[in-house]
Amino acid sequence: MKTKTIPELLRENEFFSELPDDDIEFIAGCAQIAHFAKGKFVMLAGEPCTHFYLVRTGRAVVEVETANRARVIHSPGPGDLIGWSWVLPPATWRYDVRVIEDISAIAFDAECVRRKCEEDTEFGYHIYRRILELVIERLMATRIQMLDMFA
Amino acid sequence: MGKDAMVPATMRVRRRIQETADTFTLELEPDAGTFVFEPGQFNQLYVFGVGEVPISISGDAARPSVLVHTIRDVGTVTHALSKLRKGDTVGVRGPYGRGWPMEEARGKDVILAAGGIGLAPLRPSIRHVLANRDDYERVVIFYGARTPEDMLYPKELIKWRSRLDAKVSVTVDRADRSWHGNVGVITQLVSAARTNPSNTIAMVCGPEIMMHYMQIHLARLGVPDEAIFVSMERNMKCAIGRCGHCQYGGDFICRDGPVFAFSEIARRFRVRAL
Ligand SMILES: Cc1cc2nc3c(=O)[nH]c(=O)nc-3n(C[C@H](O)[C@H](O)[C@H](O)COP(=O)(O)OP(=O)(O)OC[C@H]3O[C@@H](n4cnc5c(N)ncnc54)[C@H](O)[C@@H]3O)c2cc1C
Ligand code: FES
Repeated sequence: MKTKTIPELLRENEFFSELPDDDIEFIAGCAQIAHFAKGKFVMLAGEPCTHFYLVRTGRAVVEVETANRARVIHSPGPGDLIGWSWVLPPATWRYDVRVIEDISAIAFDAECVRRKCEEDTEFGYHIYRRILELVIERLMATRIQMLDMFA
Repeated sequence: MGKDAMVPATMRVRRRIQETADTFTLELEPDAGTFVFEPGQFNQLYVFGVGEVPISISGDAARPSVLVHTIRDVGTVTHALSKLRKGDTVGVRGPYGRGWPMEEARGKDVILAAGGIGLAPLRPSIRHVLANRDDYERVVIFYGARTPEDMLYPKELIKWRSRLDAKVSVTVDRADRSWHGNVGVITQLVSAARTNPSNTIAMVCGPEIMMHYMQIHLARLGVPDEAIFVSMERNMKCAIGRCGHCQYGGDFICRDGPVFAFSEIARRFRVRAL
């Protein structure tokens, strides 16, 4: 079976699917394939946001440390984007993201994508709009989680 | 309707299963040998000297020799029910109400989504769909619980998940590190349903707030309100459409529900005081 190229993989994802081919090619130039083994951290709270990730296979958990206890609040898996704090520099990650099933992901150089967003505002508008959609989705989910509706 | 409709049959507890910290299952021996019901219907369970509550039937409609209820201990009567043990007796009136749209779902994609204790009223329809798998197109089951410890029927969930002809996704609102499954709200699972929205029936059961958000997410996928079914709960007394205790707008939940198409109730859904 032929392995898919990064532009092909990006076109399949909702986040990038509406981008014109030129932009897909460009953003693919900021990306590379990355692997994380189970137990490793994709990112650690306090570290600078140098990369963000699109998960192809595997799963991670977003953890918050409370009173010496790690609490899992979200578990991104295939098709999910991990990390958006990079959009507003200088930024550091807020949470630990730990791998629970080996991950294969596309890793994006945050500075490379951000520079392109600033130089090409149409591209930037598209990316920021998609990020905003993701943030709204997460905010809604977090609000529902806070309601503790099954209590 | 004769006076008999209000007189409960006496049934014996055959088995009691502690499901989670506050939820248990009672398996009853039908007094007549069998108890026939449709998925989504409920019974009035009467603890002698304490009171009566509506509880959905959560067993297998294809196995009428045992009558199953899964109950969460939340107050006076459900607490008294939790004290029953093998050999004790309970009063049973029913089955009552309009259940899940099993016939209407035939030949269609089916989404079965339950939250918390809502898996109990939905389990008979899940079992029916899986036992008659060829009658349905794509089958998607979503279950959301508060924590891994609060999940109902974990063994059965594992069995369902091992099937290749149904997509089963489970999520919990929060967990510690020992849980290796999904964490996040049930609504986030919906986008992965991949059903044909114009040929889908969704059956949703859980707290009203959960059903409210599920409807929003299903509508976003393109599933029309006529094809989204929810099970409503209100306090009940007679359960046979006489007393008006369970009135919900122009309907009595005991008689016209508890299962409604969302389109039937959209205008009153989550309206305060209704
Ligand atoms: C059609 C129908 C089907 C139902 N199916 C099931 C079922 O399969 N399993 C099940 O466990 N329950 C089910 N219920 C809910 C069940 O009937 C109530 O939990 C029960 O009536 C509570 O009575 P109680 O005397 O134990 O509590 P009460 O003493 O009347 O109430 C004690 C406290 O519990 C709260 N309370 C009451 N009802 C609920 C509720 N539903 N959820 C959370 N808190 C509540 C009250 O507000 C009060 O604060 C169903 C209800 C309906 C209408
Ligand atoms: S409970 Fe009496 S009318 Fe429904």
